Amino acid sequence: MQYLLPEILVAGSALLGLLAMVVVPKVRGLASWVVLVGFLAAGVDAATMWNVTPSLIVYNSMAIDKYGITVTELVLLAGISTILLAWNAEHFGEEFPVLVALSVLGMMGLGGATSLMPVFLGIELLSLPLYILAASRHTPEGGEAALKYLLLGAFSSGILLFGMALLYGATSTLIFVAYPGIASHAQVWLLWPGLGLVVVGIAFKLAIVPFHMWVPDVYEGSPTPVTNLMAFGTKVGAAIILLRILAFGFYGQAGAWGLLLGYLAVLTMIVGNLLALPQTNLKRLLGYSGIGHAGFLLVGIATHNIQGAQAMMFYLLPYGLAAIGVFAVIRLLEQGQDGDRGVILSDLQGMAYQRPWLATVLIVGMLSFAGIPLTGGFVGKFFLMQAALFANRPGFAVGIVVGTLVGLAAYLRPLQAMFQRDGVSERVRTMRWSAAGVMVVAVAVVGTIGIGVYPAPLVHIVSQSANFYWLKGG
Amino acid sequence: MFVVVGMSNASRIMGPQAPGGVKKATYESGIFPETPVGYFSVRFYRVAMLFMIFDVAIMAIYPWATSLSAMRARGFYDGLVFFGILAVAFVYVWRKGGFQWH
Amino acid sequence: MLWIGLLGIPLVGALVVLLLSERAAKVGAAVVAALEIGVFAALLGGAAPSLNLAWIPAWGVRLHFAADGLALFLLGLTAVMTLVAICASKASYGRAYFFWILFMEFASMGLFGAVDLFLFYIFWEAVLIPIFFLLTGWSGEKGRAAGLKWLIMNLFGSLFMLIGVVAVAVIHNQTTGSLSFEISQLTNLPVSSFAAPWLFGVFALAFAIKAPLWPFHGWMPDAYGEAPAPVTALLAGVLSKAGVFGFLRVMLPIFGAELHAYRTGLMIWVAVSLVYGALMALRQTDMKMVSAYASLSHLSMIALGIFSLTAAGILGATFLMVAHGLMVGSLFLILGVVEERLGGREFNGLMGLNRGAPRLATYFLFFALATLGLPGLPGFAGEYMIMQGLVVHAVGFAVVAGVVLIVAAWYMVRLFQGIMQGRPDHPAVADVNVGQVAWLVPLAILVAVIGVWPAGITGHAVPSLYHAVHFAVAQGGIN
Repeated sequence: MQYLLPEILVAGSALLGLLAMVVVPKVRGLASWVVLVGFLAAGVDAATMWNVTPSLIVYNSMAIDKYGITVTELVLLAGISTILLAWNAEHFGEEFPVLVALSVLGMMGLGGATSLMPVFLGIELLSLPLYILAASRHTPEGGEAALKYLLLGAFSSGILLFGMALLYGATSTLIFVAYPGIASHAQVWLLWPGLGLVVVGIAFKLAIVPFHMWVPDVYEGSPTPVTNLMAFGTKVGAAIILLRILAFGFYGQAGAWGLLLGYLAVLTMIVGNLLALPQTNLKRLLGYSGIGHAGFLLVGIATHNIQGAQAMMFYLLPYGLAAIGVFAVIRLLEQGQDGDRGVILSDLQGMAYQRPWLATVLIVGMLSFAGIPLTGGFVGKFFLMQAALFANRPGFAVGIVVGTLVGLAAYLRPLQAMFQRDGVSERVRTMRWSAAGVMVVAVAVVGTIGIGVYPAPLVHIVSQSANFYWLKGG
Repeated sequence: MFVVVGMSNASRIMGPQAPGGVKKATYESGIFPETPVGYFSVRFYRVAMLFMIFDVAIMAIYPWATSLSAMRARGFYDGLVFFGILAVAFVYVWRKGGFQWH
Repeated sequence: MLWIGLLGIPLVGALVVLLLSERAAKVGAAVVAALEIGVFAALLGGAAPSLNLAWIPAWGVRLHFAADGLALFLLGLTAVMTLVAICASKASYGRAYFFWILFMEFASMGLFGAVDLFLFYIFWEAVLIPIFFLLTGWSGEKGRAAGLKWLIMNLFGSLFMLIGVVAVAVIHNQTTGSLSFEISQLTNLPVSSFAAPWLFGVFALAFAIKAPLWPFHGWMPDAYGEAPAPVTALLAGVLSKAGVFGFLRVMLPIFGAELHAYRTGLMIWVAVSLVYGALMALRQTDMKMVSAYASLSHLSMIALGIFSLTAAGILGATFLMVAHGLMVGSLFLILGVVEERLGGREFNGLMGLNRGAPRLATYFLFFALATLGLPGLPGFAGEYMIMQGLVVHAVGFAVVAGVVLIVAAWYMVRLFQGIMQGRPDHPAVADVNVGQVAWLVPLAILVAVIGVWPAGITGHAVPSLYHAVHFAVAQGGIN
């Protein structure tokens, strides 16, 4: 039970935040503090469990291992950055931090899940608050985003649930880590459709082409902190649970799904980045770039070797850090004139001269997205490429290169817009720094460059957390 | 299986049939439909949703109460945690004015 | 220790410059660059040190820098050209400009010093970034497009090279069971006959784009033309060497056998590039473009020396890299002065500068003559050694190279005539001022010294080149 303490802390902070909101309504922002403290405490507690011997708890449906702990830390980082980006933003509603905490709780549950039950619970728990959060701006675009997200989310949940039902029918157990042992006498004609539907259901959340069409509108319509949570947290949750299901439950059949997912990954990388090219709204651009990055993550899963699993785990952090950095820049720009209106490329005009520090953050974030050395994004891409070649799949490596090249132009356009000399946009002139925003930005920049310059500690961590025993030549 | 199919279809074929009359009206309970009802107030939905949430909670509490003896102290405390979460939600809804009609 | 200084001074200096006031930035940057030259002098005096630390143990990546004869003088070239470029820059460019210049010095130092393939790749791409921002932020309206072209074309090459880098390490892992990116350990790889041309191709492509060699020079006219003169000088003087340097540093040890097998094809390719560059230089009317295509032609000459796979040719190429860096860099700086004085680059319109600015004309003539390979100046010594290598077993290519040298004299004289001689049809312009003389004179002296005493460089380069060539011999690369 003590192993679930991080989850309990987050859940408790959500409840406490809810209570604090109604018991002492006079103290503004108390819920944010409560949730923030809860997140930090959960993060510290999860870190202390690092050396615990891996074990299964709750009737074999949750695992306590380094994989889950790493995921917990990642999603907590996403949660903390979201809370900080929405600091003092009362127009998002006072329930905002509580809903973020619940969503993060769902992601944490996904990290340790070894049974289909917590997988479904986790996905629903992470999605439901996001549906509400997407609309927390009370604008028509926000409503559209929320509705679109709700409808497609419900649709994908249905597919996921149906797939799970088929898997249960095939194997008569929900505990997917037990599947390899019983695959021999499972009902194969139920197993494959079941697996396919589960993958499709998760692919919706991960935004894999061709299940990506909801992303840009939802990202654009949602408030920036929420988009940040969707881009970082949801992606972490969906990617790691897909890896866990496939690598634990179906590693025997990897030859079949590996290549198929590889094709999807290459398609996603290229299409996502290609669609990012013509975007002028920064959040839409990030939405499409997020699709592209989902493709990169999928490469790590599709290679189905230990390097791939490690590379995918690794890639999540630099991607997330770059994302929170760029979203923080957008948020800070929104704190200037015309509030939450979308930030478009021409709003960046003159930023490099007028606001050099803010420009630096955007430069670091975009270069990391593009995978330029000395940023974390490069090491991540390198790791993925290594995994692809160790799996003897040069096609994946070429896909990574083509995807990166296509994306490059998309990431450079905002940078070039910043260097436009004729005049400074109103937004850049009127933007205001906030302490919370500075904290997020500092973590993002230091982290991105830190991982790029000295990746060894993170490589060590992911090589321990994605240390699947059967992949080591057994 | 033959029996089942046979019986279910037999009643349709052999039973008395008297179409017409009020059978095609919206309700068969004798009340003729009159002017169309306007939109329901959004308050109905709120009340209905709150009812649903707490009603479903009761569904979980009832089996807990009946099998307490089998679950012993551990089960009892786990149930209390559930109550606690429910109570927080209840307090929240109450203080937010969720139970007030206006 | 020296390596920490060599890399740390420009990096820390770049950050310090960011904290200075806008006006003090130029002086600060110059001080940093001067310190760097001091460190290089210490490096030259003592035994060649190396830095070898574990960096990413899980992948066998090491922070391994070495200043062997191949790299030593390129490091010096970087240090000298950076200082000169900083001195030639306008103080009004601001601190961010000098930050990027110093960052580029850091990245170039790392690039030339790295003997770990991963490290080499990191710096290989890191040098792209400062140029991109310098083109984007400190040049005209077309500079932004030029920057985009520069980055995308170069990354196109280098990302495919990344596959090659990883693949080489993976193949090494499959034979030895350990992962290493150390270039000296990646020799004699059992590359399958299917994969070998592809791997060779991705490396060659990246190096050819960076140099650039024909037909991969699409970014060159825009980037050289649009960048401020000091940046062009660094680009042509220092960074273009990275491409041909890659052939020596990476290709010779790893792909010695392939280099030997494809030698004739490669030599035909660079010979075409050599002729193309010279002919293009002949028909330009923009003075920066003449120098740009001349530079392309010279780089092809260096590549020709490398692909001859003879000791003399490779030695000549090593020497010419350094010499060409100094000469063409200075030439671009002088052209920058001319452009600033006259406000245009079309040299039909700016004749007769000789009258108004005789000293400027003298310096210009000196560097132009050095570039065209006048005996006694370093261009000649390098080209002579390359010819010597070519004559040994590829006389045909030697003839081509000889003809191109004549064409080189033609286009350089044409450039000089166009700008300096003839009837002055514009108001009198100012001659070089004291600030410019301060960097022109040392450069000229340096070029002259290298010209009359090439052994200063070749003597250092020979021992380590012996190793490089020895590798190639061991794999049947040299006969």
